[in-house]
Amino acid sequence: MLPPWAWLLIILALGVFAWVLRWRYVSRRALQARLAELAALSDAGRAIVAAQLDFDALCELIYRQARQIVDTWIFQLGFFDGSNYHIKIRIFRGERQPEQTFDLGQGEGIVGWMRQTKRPLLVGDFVTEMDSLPAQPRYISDDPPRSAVFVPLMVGGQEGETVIGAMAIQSHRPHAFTTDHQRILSIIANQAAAAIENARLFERVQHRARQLGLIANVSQRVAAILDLDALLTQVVALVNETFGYPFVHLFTLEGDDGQEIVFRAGTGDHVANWLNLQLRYSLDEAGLIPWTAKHGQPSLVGDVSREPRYRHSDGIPEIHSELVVPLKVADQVVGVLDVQSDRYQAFDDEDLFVLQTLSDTVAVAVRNAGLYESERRRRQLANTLHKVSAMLSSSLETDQVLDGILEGVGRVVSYDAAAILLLDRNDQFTVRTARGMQAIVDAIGTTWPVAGRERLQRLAQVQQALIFDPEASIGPYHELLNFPPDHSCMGAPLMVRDELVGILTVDSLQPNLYGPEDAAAVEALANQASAALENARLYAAELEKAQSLAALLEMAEATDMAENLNQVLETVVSLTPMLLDVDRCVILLWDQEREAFQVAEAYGLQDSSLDVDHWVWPEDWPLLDRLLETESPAVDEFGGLPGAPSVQDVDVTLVALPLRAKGRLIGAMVIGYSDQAPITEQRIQLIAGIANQTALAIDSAQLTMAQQEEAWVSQALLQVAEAIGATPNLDEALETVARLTPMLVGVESCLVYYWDKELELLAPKAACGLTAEQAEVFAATPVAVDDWPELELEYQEQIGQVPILPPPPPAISEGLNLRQPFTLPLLIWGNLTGAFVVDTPDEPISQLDRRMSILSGIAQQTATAIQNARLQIESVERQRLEQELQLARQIQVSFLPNKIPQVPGWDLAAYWQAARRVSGDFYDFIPVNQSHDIWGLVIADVADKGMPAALFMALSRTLVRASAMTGRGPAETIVRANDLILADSHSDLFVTLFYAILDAEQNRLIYTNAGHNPPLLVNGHQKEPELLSASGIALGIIPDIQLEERKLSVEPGCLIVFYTDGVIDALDDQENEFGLKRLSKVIKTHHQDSAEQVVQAINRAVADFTGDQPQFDDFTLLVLKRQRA
Amino acid sequence: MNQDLHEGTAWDIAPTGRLDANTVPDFESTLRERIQSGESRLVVDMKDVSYISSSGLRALLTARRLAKSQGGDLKLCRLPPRIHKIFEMVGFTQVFGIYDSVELALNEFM
Repeated sequence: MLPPWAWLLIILALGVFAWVLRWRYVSRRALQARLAELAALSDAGRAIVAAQLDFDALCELIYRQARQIVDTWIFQLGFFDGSNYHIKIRIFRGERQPEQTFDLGQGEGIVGWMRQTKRPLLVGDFVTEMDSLPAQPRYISDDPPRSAVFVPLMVGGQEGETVIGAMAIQSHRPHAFTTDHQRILSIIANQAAAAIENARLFERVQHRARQLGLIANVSQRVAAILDLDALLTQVVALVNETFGYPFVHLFTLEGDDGQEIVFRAGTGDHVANWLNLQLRYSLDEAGLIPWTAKHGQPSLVGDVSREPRYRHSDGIPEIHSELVVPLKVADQVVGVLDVQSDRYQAFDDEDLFVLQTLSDTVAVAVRNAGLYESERRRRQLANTLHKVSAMLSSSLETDQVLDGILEGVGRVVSYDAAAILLLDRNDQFTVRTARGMQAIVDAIGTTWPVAGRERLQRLAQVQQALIFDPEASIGPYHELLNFPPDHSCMGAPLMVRDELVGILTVDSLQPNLYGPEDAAAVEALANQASAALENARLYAAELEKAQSLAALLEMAEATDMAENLNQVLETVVSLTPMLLDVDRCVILLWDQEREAFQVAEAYGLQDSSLDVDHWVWPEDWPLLDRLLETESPAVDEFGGLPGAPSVQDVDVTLVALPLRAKGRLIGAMVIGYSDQAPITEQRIQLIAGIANQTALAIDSAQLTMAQQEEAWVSQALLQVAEAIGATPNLDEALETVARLTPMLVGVESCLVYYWDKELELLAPKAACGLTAEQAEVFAATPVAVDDWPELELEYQEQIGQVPILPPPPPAISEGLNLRQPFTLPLLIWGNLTGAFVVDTPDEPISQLDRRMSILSGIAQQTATAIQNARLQIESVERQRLEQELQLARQIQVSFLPNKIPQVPGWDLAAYWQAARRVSGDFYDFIPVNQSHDIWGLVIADVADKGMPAALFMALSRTLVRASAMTGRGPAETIVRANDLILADSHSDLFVTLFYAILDAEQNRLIYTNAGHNPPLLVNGHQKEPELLSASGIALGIIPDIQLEERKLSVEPGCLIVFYTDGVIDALDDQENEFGLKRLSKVIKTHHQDSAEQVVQAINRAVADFTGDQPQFDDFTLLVLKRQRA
Repeated sequence: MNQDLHEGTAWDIAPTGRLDANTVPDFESTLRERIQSGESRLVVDMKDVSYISSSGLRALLTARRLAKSQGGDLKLCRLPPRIHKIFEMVGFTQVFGIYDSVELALNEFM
């Protein structure tokens, strides 16, 4: 038996052993747990390190790691973003839930508490511990979890540790988690947090790289794409692709005053509808987009429900954040870029920065495209006008020209139908030419009564193109088009000599398509159409004239064939209706003794009182009574015939013409017509001509009957007429006349003088029958009309009769040693065109009587030939010149600034005067940067004048402007403009130009001189004006020019005068030039005056100097003055 | 002077007085006729020119281009100081060969 102490010892030993066993067991368990823990952590660490720097993948990894450690029946992993908490992974009852974002106030809920305290939290049992928890859970659900572990995701940084997110794992079982769990999860969370932060940083860098890539990409495209719509569509697509923003919209500023923004491109399903609607906002409307456009400031809104300026745009799903940035060029808003997102706080400052940078690039593109578009249009218009004017001076048919004009219209504005409608005197429209849809082309030639008079009257009144309200239709034309009531239409009046003759109308199906620029273009082309119509009218008049002459010739020929008076009368009466297109013709012969007319021949009248051989007393027929009284044609519009009561036929107009031969009345010719055609001047002249011929024929026939041998009279006339008709050359015709006359009339010599209207003298043209000596004197002796007073008499009453005048002035009679000369004026419708001098050595004038009719006839024919040639030349030349000048001036004036800019602290004035109707000079004020009062000042002089110079001026001005707008310095601007001019111009024209950029805020002038007269500068204290010289060369001559650029600080009171050489080259009557010295003196004297006063003073000085001398060069002044403080 | 070398060369063109809008058309047609008749190398003696307007400058430019297109050139000589100043201002001294005498200008063609 063991002693008790042994038992005690054994028990003790057993106890120690058991304790050791237990301790070993516990420590082994602890070791095992520790090993497992370390393995888990090392796995997690390895996995995290091995994971790619991808935020989403990392989150998934953390979730997987947590799952290996605890039950993740209810799990969430979330991140803080400002005041938002975004739950990236949410597992509820083992099911994956969508991501979620909500606003979480400071310290709110357990997650909020954890963010603040940076401590984890282990909840054993919500039911028992709820009141002792440091923070209350935010949401209470029907089926609340019992226990939970919360760990923060923390990263270290310079400002200490930051909580970037939280992991929360919950369970419906109480005490589901231990402090070990909490510890391991914390370690994983912290490891993961570091990795996530890295991933985020990396992503940000990636994002940034993508953003920069986008900017570079867009910049490249901006440079390459000139079609704005294509560019904008690409930009929004790129922004959408690169950032994944669902809704990207681009608007540009439109309207005359830039008070509207119009949707141009976007992404999303609603875009097609917006484009269709032409969605636009007024700048004063509510909404972030109009606000940004109006204020030029970006708007960044993280939660639109808290933004009073926000307005929801139709067609877009619910959105939460919006970023709008203005597109600005040099402080001027040209549009806005709008990005909207269905997420809260979707955009940050970085997005703002990137989109702003992008916007700057896009803005330049919008602006350039706008400029390019408007310059392209101007050039297109100038080109089109040029083409059309070339067409006008070519020999195309009017219809072809008008069609060409409509085609030209299509080049400058787009349309679905365009037509030229002519207005006739019965207030009817005829579609003369049309282009576009088939319905209108098919309508060419159709006519309808005018409706919508008001619109026409307005066109006639304002004499310019108008954009019409399509609802106020002009009647059947628009019914024919069958366009919807919101289509666009414009009309321009066609004016010929201030009279509305028609309209040019342009219609498009697209609503609100046309603006003032389109109207101006259409107007310019309408003016061309007017010119074409005027041309056609002139041509028709010429044609009628030619036909008249042919008719006269035919009459002369026909009557000449007649062998006796009866045949003459028969011929006349049967030919006249055909030649004149009249229904009735009566010839009556005057019997001086009985003081009555006897009907000799009649056609088309069934009235017994007018039967052949009947006598008609003037008192019975008022028509003839008037004729006798006035000895000139009489008209009765109501067709009254002889007899009492007089028989009337209101549809017939009767015209009675006196038949006269050798200064006496031999009878009357009465014609009647019932057609609607108006009696034109031409027609009256033709009738008078035929009456004349008839009278001659009758007289001649009478003579023939008396003296058969004089039958050759008309033969002679015919020969002359044929000779004249055979040549289009006037000199040749006159020589033929001079040669034929002595042979036909039997005089010794015949001299032909031509009336030179401008020089007011009778120029020797052709002579026959002179000795060589006489011919020499003849050719060298023009006679001033003052020295030949007989020719200056009024001959209006002498139609049909060539008076015989006294001998020519001594310079001819005695100078040529003529014997019995006499003069015949060459008259056409009473106007002097020249003179015949005939010398008859043998017989006195009286004995020439019977040949007078031949001479008279020859004189008539000759006068006609001269007049014809003259009219031909004048009308063609004048017309061409007039058109060219009109067109050139129109172009030119449209290219000059229409007002002087108001620059605070500065005073500007300009003056422009063309030597002819068009000028090669121009000046310009270019708003380089309006908001900083930076202005480009241009004065220029194109070599030469006229149409080519005007076009060249337009070209130069446009290209300088386009180049200046890019914001380059003066020298670079002009060098670039020179390259553009050279590329565009194919003439030898060049332009000298002075260009200065005025920085009105900095009081600085930077200038360059391309071969122009250097401006003059005068300061208050300077003795002599200084020349602003800088070396350079005129533009349009050689490429790659070098231009010097100079800088100048402008003091208060300083005055700068820009001028063209027309100012200093002005001549006085001694051919002295006004010169730089005189100009300097004027400027010095007036340097205290305002800019406008200086302009006037220079004008006055030049006008006083030149006196009556005509201005021979264009004259342009531009005066700049810095006001005294 | 060697006639062979100077075939197709005109050195007797010497306008006088004012070369302005009134006189330029004649001057221009003279130059054109000379060039078209085969004299594509021209020396214009400017000694007696008292004034030249921009149309006069343009006429010279046109003639020079025409001459060059025929394988020749147009050179100027003896510019009075006043005229030379205008040429300098407009930058034409960079475009035209300008010489002190007809001979020096002709030498350039040899």
